[in-house]
Amino acid sequence: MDMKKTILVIEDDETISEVVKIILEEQGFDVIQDLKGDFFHTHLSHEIIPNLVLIDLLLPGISGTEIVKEIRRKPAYMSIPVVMMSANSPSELAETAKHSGADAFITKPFNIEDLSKLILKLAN
Amino acid sequence: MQNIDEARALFPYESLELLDIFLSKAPIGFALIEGNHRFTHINHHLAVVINKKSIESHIGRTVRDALGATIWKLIKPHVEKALSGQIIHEQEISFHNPENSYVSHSIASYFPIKIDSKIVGVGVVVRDVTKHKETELALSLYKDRLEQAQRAGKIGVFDWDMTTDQIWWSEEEESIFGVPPGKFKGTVKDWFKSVYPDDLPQLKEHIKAAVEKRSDLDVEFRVMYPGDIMHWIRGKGHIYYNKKTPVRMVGVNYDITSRKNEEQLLKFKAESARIISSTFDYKKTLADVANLAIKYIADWCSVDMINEETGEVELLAVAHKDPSQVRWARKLREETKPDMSQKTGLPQVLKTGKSEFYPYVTSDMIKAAARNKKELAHMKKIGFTSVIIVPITTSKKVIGAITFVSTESKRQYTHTELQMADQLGSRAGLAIDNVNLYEQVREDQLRLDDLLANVPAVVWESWGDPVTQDQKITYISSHAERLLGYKRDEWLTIPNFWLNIVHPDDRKCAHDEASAIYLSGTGGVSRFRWVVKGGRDVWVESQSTVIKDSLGTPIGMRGVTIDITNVMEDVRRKDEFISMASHELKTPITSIKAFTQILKGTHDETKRIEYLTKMESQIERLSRLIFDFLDVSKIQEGKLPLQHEQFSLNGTLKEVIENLQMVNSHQIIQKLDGDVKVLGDPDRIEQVIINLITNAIKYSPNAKKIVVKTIVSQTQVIVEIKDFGVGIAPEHQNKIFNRFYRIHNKFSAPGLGIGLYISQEIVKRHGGTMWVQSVDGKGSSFFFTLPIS
Repeated sequence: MDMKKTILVIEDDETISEVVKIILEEQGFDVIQDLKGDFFHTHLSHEIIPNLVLIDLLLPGISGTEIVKEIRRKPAYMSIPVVMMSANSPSELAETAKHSGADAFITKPFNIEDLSKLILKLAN
Repeated sequence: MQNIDEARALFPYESLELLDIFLSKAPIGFALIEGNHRFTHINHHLAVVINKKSIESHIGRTVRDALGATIWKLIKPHVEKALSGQIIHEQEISFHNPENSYVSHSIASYFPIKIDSKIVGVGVVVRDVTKHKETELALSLYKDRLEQAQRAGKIGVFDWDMTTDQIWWSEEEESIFGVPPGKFKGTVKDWFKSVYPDDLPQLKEHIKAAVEKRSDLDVEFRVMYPGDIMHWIRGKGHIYYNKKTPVRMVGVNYDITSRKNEEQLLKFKAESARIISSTFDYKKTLADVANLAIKYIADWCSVDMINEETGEVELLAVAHKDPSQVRWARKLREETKPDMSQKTGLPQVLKTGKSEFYPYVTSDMIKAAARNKKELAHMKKIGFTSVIIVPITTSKKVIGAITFVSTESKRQYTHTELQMADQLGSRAGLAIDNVNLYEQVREDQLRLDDLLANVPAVVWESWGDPVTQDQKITYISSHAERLLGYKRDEWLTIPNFWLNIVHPDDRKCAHDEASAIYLSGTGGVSRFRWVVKGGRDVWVESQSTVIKDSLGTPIGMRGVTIDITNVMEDVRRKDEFISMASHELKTPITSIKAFTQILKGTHDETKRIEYLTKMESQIERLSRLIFDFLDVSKIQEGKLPLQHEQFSLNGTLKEVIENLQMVNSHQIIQKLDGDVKVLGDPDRIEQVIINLITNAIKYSPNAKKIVVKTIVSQTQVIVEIKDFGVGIAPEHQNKIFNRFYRIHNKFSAPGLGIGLYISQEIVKRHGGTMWVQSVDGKGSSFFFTLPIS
């Protein structure tokens, strides 16, 4: 039996974080919720290396792009797929995602099917 | 063509060569001319130095051919005579070459050359005497000049026997001292008598000093000629001594009047020109000129001006070396105004604009000019010698006149002085024209400055081409200094100053836009940032038109530039608000949409209810947002609806706190004063309290508590919501109540920048006020007051 893959969801809106968790658990992933964007500064980051990061662009006090850049600088996380999520327009988000080094992006509000497919594709 | 060899064969060539060698170092020309007038031999000196031609251009050619018809005509008789056997000595030839204006003089001798008693040709020996001639001519001219100079200079000679005080004068000396020929009595006493009394002490002093120092005498003094004409004399003398006693002085005197006058005239001209061109106060200037005149060329000088309003002639200035005389003249003028009907003097000059010149004022003239006995007495007292009156004429009309009068100095004015005075009058007029023009321009500019001083815009004009960056600002209103801090001078003197202070990021664009507007010839608008002296940026919008010459070619620009920083800030805040609003709206919609989709495949009733509850709270959030937006627009329109009812403030506070405590981990501590009734809209007050408490929680993520406190006084209740969070920097504290205002730093939380705006507005509508106290990094206290009903 395969080990369950872990998705790190960095999203400050509790409800969205919750609903994403429900969707991804349905798909058989373990979900870590990070509501403040500080996962990589907690001890937890030393124990768990997520298989994928789903990150909101607009977080309180810090920009999602900064966190993505930080992830890309750390050798251990360098190759983790990163999906950026935002209410920005698709073209704007595409540019930001590419610029910061994310692998894919999805705009809010999203279809749960689109999200599931994207995560499945990148996580496997 | 003559056979030269044949011709030469006739002459003894060996002796010719010897002659050439012999004459080669001497400045003597030598030639042989045969019977048919052709040169068969010529030496270097004659050909090259005297005739200024090559040897080859002579040989084989006739004299006429080689040297021209003019010369041939001069020497032909001598050549012919020599061919007939005579020897011609020392004939002078002066030849003027019309090609180069060169006049040459030479002396030539001609002698026949015989072979076997037969005359075969003429030998010519020539000496060039041009230099000698020129010197002679110059000398005779010099002599003439010297004589002329002596005559003109009137050099007189004296011989003074200092032991007997007898003195001998030459004839010229008598004329120099204005003494009729032969009338000088021959003593020193007589000599001193003819010297102008004022200058006598100084003359004696000089003689004494020369004797004491054993030096030569060199002195200038004045002599009064019959008819009261003053002359300046220079005297030079050498003193002879018998041991220590001076026994004799021999010397010369000559008239230096014209030199002296000219010297003073030149000084006056130079100084008056400087005075006139260096000031804008022409009344003072003309008074200065009058004072200057009495120093150099006049005993009296007055300046009269026509009063523009009354048309009356007013004495602007009068100068004389004696102040009491000036007072007297002024008083005189006050008593008797000039009679404009007179056809002479000042009235005539003012009427015609032409100078009046009286080189020699006779008593008849004075009698004719005086209007009454009193005036006649005054005029006699003044004692006119010479008078010049010149008009002061501007481009439009005669505005005044300057009068130069020679009295006690007995100076006789000549046309030289008249010419100078005329020039002075027109220069003064020109200067006044310039002053008026300048004042008009300055007045126009001052009026423009005044008009524009309170206009909150930079009004400007520039000349030159912005494309080549060759622009010069010719006008800029004072607002530029207020807006940007740079002095007007900097704008006006530093080339392309406006562009230099454009923000580096905007500079290229601003230059391109200005160039495009200039080239289009129609004008246009451009926006850019200027950097204020000190570093802040100002967004400006510049509206410009193009100035064109008569051919339609752009030559400059004019425009108005306004500060649009606030507009740009509003635009930026609005853009940010729209972006944030859409974000805020999309957040609950994202959850609602996802839950809706999940619900489709969820059959577990418990889960369905859980999801639906979550959806409901998101819909609640969505509608709150929409109400907030509506509130903002209602406030903008002044139509925020409010209920009017009495309610318990503590009751409202407790209810809100209870609800918020349920969903938040911060402990909300209540420190409430006694309850009071408030008149107003309890829902709106609730909205304010919720806004302040949620803000407090949002901006104190690491704190554990919030304090809500009330203080009741006679008339009002103060509500304080205190957090221990990130705080607010002082520069933001009074701006956070503005619509759409958000602080951008590491503590920024998602939001729209409308919560505090709405809250403050609600409090205001209730007759209260709202403010903040905060320490950056320590926390904030938001206060609001409500009147007690």
